[in-house]
Parts: sequence; structure tokens; C-alpha cells
Amino acid sequence: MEHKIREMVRDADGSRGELIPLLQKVQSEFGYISQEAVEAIAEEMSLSESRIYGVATFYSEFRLQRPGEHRVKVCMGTSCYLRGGKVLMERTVQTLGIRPGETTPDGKFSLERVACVGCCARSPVVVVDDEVHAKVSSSKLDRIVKNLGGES
Amino acid sequence: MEKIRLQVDGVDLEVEPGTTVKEAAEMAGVKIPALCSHPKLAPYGACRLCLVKIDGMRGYPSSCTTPAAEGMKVTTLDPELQELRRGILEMLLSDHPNVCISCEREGDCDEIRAALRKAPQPTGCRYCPKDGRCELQEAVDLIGVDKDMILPFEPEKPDFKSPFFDRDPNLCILCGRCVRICDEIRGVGALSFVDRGRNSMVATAFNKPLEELGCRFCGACVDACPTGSLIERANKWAGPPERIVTTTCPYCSMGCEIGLGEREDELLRVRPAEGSQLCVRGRFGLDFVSDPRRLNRPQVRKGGKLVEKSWDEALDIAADRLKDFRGRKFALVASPSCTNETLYLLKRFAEEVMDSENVLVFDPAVPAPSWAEDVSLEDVRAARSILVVGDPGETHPALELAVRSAVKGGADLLVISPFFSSLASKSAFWIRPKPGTESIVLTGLARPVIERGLQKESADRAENLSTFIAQIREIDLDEAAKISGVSKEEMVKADEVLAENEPIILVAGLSQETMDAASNLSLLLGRRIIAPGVHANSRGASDLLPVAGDVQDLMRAGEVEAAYIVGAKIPEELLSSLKFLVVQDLFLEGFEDEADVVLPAASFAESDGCFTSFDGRRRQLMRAVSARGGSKPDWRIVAELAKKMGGENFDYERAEEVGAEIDRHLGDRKRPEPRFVLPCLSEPTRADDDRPLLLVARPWLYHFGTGIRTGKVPDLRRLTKDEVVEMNPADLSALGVLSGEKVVLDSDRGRIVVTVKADRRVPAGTVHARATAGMDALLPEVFPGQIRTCAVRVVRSDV
Ligand code: SF4
Ligand code: SF4
Ligand code: SF4
Ligand code: SF4
Ligand code: FES
Ligand code: FES
Repeated sequence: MEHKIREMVRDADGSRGELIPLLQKVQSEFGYISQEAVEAIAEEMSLSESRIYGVATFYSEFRLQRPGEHRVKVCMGTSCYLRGGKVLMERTVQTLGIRPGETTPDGKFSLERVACVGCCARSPVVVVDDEVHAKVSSSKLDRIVKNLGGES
Repeated sequence: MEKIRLQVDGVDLEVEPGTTVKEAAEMAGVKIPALCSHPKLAPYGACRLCLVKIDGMRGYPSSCTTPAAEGMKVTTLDPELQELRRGILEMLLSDHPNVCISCEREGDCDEIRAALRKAPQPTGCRYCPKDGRCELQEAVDLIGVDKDMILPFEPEKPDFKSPFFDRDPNLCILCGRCVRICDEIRGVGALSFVDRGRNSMVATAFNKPLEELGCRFCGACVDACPTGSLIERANKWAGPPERIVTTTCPYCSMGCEIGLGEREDELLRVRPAEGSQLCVRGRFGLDFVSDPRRLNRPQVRKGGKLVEKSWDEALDIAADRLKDFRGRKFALVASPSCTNETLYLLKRFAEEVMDSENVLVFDPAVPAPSWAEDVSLEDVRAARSILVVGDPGETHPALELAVRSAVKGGADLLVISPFFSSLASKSAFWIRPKPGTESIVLTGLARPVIERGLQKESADRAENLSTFIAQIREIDLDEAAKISGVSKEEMVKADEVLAENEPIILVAGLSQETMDAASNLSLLLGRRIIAPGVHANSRGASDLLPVAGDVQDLMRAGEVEAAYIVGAKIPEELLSSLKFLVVQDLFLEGFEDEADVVLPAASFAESDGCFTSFDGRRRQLMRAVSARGGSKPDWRIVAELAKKMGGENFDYERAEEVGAEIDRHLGDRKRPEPRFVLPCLSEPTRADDDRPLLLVARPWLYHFGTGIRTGKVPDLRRLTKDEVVEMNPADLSALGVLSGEKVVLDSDRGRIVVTVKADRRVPAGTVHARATAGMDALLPEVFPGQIRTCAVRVVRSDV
């Protein structure tokens, strides 16, 4: 992986402005931005690791933990938000014990917030492993998690 | 450039272009509350506390980011502004320990109850280690807050421990000074803002410890922090010092000004003097002063054992014995960390009392050529082009900072170094010769300069020019390129960049040959060269005690029978023929079995006097605490011993009197005419079949000289305790060793076990190491402080 990242940096010609697109590329290739990735980028671009980490944590689109076996995405788009998305998110945070962007210690679940997935009519929406669950209530959410082997 | 005229609170001012409104106001004596701006940092404008009104401008611009402009009319204080500021401040304080600030009886605590200080986390100013130097408190005083508006605060975030200092995020007001100073001034970038919104805080990548992120523990972030969020751990809860004594750092030759905080005759902590930037040694490395292992009482060897004596008795015994060794049989060995006063009296002692010319200053530094004019840090900062040979970041951090600031100002930076360093990584032109071939590259560089007639006028007036040119023309550049691994094209290109301006050439921690080659190049390119001494007073030592003959040879040949060693450590082989040895120092380490008389010396913090820093400037030492135990300042001991032996004119009351005498004695020093040193291209140390790798031990920031002083600092000891070397991954896999495993390093002098790590930046065929006490076992007996190399074999260790 380290090797691949170094190549990506070199392709991106390594100038500073390229950091965000580069992080996006790394994330789409590996699913997240790992510690090793940050180290390799820092070395290749002569940037400090903390600086890169600071940028990566500033934008919610970047994940800094390996995604879980199951990726739970709670929609926080306007429509979902207004129809209980916020409560749903709070509930998920409570159930899984992690914040958006994090992965449970056992590696089973990771949580993300997404903006509108195009199903506003059936909001609030939760997407689990690419499967869209519509009109999700708190109890429905608990069921979904339970079916995947999580406690709730 | 034209000055700018403006009006601040009705006062007319004239300022230089580029001045901010806030700076202009300060010139008029107006203090604007401000929390994020800092004199060393670029304008930032985050806290919004410094907002002002400017006629004709909308809103409330922040005065720290707004440049002064012609005709501006600025209002810094009115009820409306104060109200806005108060709002901002109250918001800040609602997320900050505030019991003291919002307390109705603020300041009366002494009457109510005695201070309780050992709080694990500050809940209010009274329990905060910032000790009243807090800029947030200051802002509260300037602006005032509505005490009822502040919500109670519960500390919720755990604090972080690093070597030397703690980070308490609960006290952080997110001003970003620490993040910016580490990046902008120090060039490290170990800290950063992470996360966003409410969760935003100052942290490191993945919360890694600072030592893994290139932090050099300079403490600049601690000093920039306006609150108690970043604070040194030494005596954290001890309260403020009674006074700060400004003196000079006792480590390297940069002569940085430090402030020693003293209370009740104890050193509490060190802070940089106003506006100065220190390195870890000067900032956090002075624990040796109060180390319990320091020598307290004079001792004399009796029946094979050292026994304590009074000063009088010990000096009598030393005087009585030394009388028998006058002339060539006596040698004086002094350390370049001694003050000028001490060195001068030692010289007089050797010459007048002992009738001997054998004076040895034990200094690893290779001095700049004697023709060289002094180049100061200001010159470096203002330079247009700089050639760095070596790594001043490890040896002379203040010099590295100056180079960094020149580069920020647009200077060209060329670095010649086989190894990665923070300057090399920032340089657009990094020349990487094979280890030990720096002198060959430097000599090689002279050739294109001469061939293309790029040399400056200054070269014409130097001795040896024509012979030098003839010899340089004979140099086979292809051969030089082959030995050094630096191509001809690279050398030509480097010359073109260098010759555009008059470069400052900076050589740190390298051999005499490298120095010679660098001084030749500098003669061709404008004569600006710096070769800073290793020790605080290396320069003073070479001014006062020019090397006379080779005392070391005499000692090795057994001609010296008695020695007086002051502050220096020397190889054991030089001691073997001694019949009588007087040692004067802070610690006895290294002479436990050899010393016949031991005289406890006072440390720099307990002495007056001066050093001469690398640039020839006098740097004052000021006594901050009285001499520990029964020790005495070096100069005083020398004078007393001299008097006991019948020396005349050794009656001094104060160090200043000696200083005045030195000034009369030194007078004006004449510099010799510059001359070229004829090049000698000697082969570097080579690996051989038996020991196929080259070990290169570089000087290390955390381990100064013999390590006796830095080794007394607990956190420095922690940072240096693991013996780690780095090798190229290809070499490692050829040996079948994994990164992180233990290996045996074996040279013709000894063997040690170390941990080896893979590092792609290390050239193949090389073992990269730091000069530590452990490495001494392998390396040739060259003074630590210089790069040292030897051939080694690396064997897997089965332990
Ligand atoms: S940082 Fe300043 S305002 Fe905050 S508790 Fe400490 S002294 Fe008080
Ligand atoms: S101590 Fe120096 S290098 Fe380390 S984080 Fe602070 S400013 Fe940066
Ligand atoms: S730690 Fe100090 S300097 Fe750094 S952002 Fe917080 S308050 Fe400012
Ligand atoms: S650069 Fe040298 S003089 Fe300055 S603080 Fe560091 S060791 Fe002391
Ligand atoms: S807002 Fe949630 S799907 Fe559109
Ligand atoms: S000091 Fe001007 S915005 Fe902070």
C-alpha cells in the first residue's frame, strides 16, 4: 500500500494544493486514510503528518479509520434531517457507541453521515452496506443493527 | 520607502509601510486586547478581540491583520467596541476554567485560605501553572466581563504528557499560536488543529506522541501559548519565580540568551529571554545544575581513596605537589565551556606559575580560517544565498533557524549532506555526496567556478591564488564525481546558483579537510564563511589560547607527568603517564580512579563572566543562584591556587576585574591575509571485505559532547536511551534482518548491540547512527561533536 501511495503522490506532482484531491484518491482506493498513508504522503510531499491529519479531519468526507464490516450511513440531507434524521443519528451513535467517521473496536460497524441519497420521498433514510432502508424509526434501526449481529 | 501617516485615537503617527494597525497603535502606547497575534508570526486574525473602528471602513476590522494606510483614522476604544469584545471574551470563558475570573472575591483568596496548588487540573486561575503570566487574564482585565454571564465550566478533556511539557486542552482558546510557531518559525509542524466545529482542538496526527512527529522540544509552542494550556512540567505547581536572571546558554557556541527563574536561591525553570528562540538544550537541558551527583567538597586521594578536605587543605596539597612538575612536565587541559575569565587565568597560571607552554583546550571544533571576518545571525537572516555543509539543526539549532528565516525571505539554499536533515528536506538544491566525501565535492565545486570565471574580486587578493588555480585545473572532475557520487552537471549547476550572489558558506561538525575545501570555495565566492565552535566558548578559547604545539603528543609520549584538567574530559590513554592529576569540574565522571585532587566547580548558573559566541560577540554570564554545595567559580579556584603557589597579581574580587584585564591584554586582533589551502583529496574511510558497511555517527541535539550534562536531564535521557541505528531497507533485507530487530555492530575497536530500523533515506552501504556514549565504543578517538565514521560489520543478534 505504501508503495502505491507514493506513486499516487508522484502522479499528483506533489505540490501542496494537491493535498485534498490526493486524500480523496487515497480514500477511494483504500476506503479510508490510514496512518501509513499519512506517513507516506508526509514524506513524499515534505508536509508534516499533523498538518495532513488536520486537513483530513477538517472535512467530514474523510475517514481515518478502517471501515467496519458493515458501513452504516445515516442520511442528514435536508429532507431526512427534518423528518427525524437527527434523532436517528443520535440513536445510532448511542447504539453503536461511536461517532460518525469512527469504527467500533471490534471492527464490525462503522458510522458515516451522508447528505441526500436521492430517496427524499421515503425519508428518513439509512443506508447499510449499499442497501437503502426507508422510513426508519428508532426501533427499526435497532432491528437492522441486531440482524447484522450487533447488540442493541 | 515613504512613511505612512495615520491617526490612532486622535494621535498622529508615522509608521513604516507594512506595519499593521495594531502595531501602529502600540507605537502610540495604546494597548489593544489581542490573543492570537504574536510578534514572530504572520497576521492571522482568529480571535477577533483586537477589532477596531476605522473611518470609512465597514464593520470592525481586526487590527492585527489590517495594514496601516495613509490617512487612516482609527478608534481603538469606545463602549461599542468594548461590548463586542466582552461578548467574544465571555464566549471564550464559557468553555474555559473560570471560577476565579467569575469569583466575586477574586484576589482575596490569600485571606480566605492558603493556596491549594497541587490540583491535577486547573479549575481556575489560582490553580493554573501559568502563574499570572496569562494573556487571557490580561484581556479580562482590559475588557472586563459580566461575571453573571459566564457559565460554570467542567474540565472534560484529558491532558497530554510529552517530554518536558504538558498540553491541557481545557485551557486552550484555539488561538493557533502553537500550531503556527511550530510550522512558521520552527519548520516542524508537529501540532495541528484537528477535527472541526465544536470538537476542534490542537493535537497531533492520530494523537501520536510528539517525539514521533519530528518535534525537537524547543518549547517555542509553550512560550507562544497565551494561556496555561501548554506548560513546562518542571516545577509546574511551584508558583512563579521571584526574579528572572538573564544569562547565556552554556551549551553550543550560538550564545542564546536565556532567563533563569530563581526563587529562594533555587533554579525553578528556564525561559527564553524576551524574543529569543531556544533549542531543547538551553530551554529544558539545565537540570545538571541541581543534580545531586554534583561535586560538593574538595577531595584528596589518600591511600588509594578520595577523602573530603577543606578548600584550604586541598589547595595546599595541590600547590605542594604541583611545584615538582614545573616546565614541560606539566600540562593544563581546559574545556571550551569555561568562561574567558577562567581561560585567561588558566593561561596565566600555566605560563607564570607553572612555567609551561603546555595548554590544551579540548575542543572538537574545526575553527573557521583565521582570515575569516565574523558573520552574524543577522547576516545569515539577510543572506540571499546560503550553502550549508553538515546539519546545524543537530549541532547549532539557532543557526538553523536563521537559515530557515533567510529561506523564507527568498534566499537560495544549497545543502551538502549525505543524510536527510530538516534543512536538506526544505532545500531546492540538496547535494548528496557519499558519506565522508564532502571535501571532495567542495573542491570539485571550485573547478567550474574557475573555469567559467565566476569568482569574485575577493579571490584576487588571496595568497596562493595561482598555485591553487593550477592545482584545481588538474583535478579530474570525473574522478571526483565517481568518488563522491555527485555528478559534474550537478556541481556546475550548484556553482551557477551560488555565484549569483555572495553566498554564506556554513560548515558545522565536519573535518579539517572539509573546512579547508569550504574556505577555498568561500575565498572564490566572496569570503563569507561560518564554522561555529561546538562549545559555548570555543571562540573565546581560540582567541585567548591559540593552540601551541601538540600537547596531546607530549602526553602520549609520556613527557607530561602532572596535569590540571578544568571542565574537560580527555581520552584515558592521555592520562596513563601522569603521576599527579588535579581535576576541577562539576562531576567527577571519567576520572574516578585517576584524580589525586578534586576541586568542585560552580556551574554557569552560579558564576559571572563571559563567553565569546561564534560571531565574536561577548556574551554575559550572570550569577542566578549561589554556588551549590561547597563549590566555587572556576576563575576563583584558579586564582587561589595560583596565589598558594606564589603567583603574583592574582588578587581579584570579582570576575569583572579579570574581564577588564583581558580586554587590555587582547587589544585589537589582527587577521592574517587570506590564503588558499592547497587541496588534498584524501580518500574517505572505506568499508572493506571484512567490515563491508560504513558506520556514520552524527552529532545529536539530545546528546551534547560527552553527554555528561545532557545525561543529567531525565527527559533527554529517556529520548536517548535506546541505541537505534538506521539502514537502507535493501541492505537490511540482504542481511536477512527485519526493521526493529537487534543486531551486533562490530568495528575494529569494539562491538555493541543496537536496534536497527529501515529508512529509505539512508544511502546504501551505510549505517546511520547518532553520536551517543554507546557509539564511542566503536568509533575512532575523535572528539565527539564531529561526524565520525568507521567500517563495521552488522551481524544478527540472537539475544
Ligand atoms: S489559562 Fe489563564 S485564564 Fe485560564 S485558568 Fe490559567 S490563568 Fe486562568
Ligand atoms: S516543542 Fe518545538 S518542535 Fe515541538 S511542538 Fe513545540 S514548537 Fe513544535
Ligand atoms: S495550546 Fe495555547 S497556543 Fe495553542 S492554540 Fe491553545 S491557547 Fe493557543
Ligand atoms: S542553540 Fe545553542 S546556545 Fe542556543 S539554546 Fe541551543 S544549545 Fe543553547
Ligand atoms: S435528504 Fe435523505 S435522502 Fe434526500
Ligand atoms: S489578535 Fe487580532 S484577531 Fe486575534
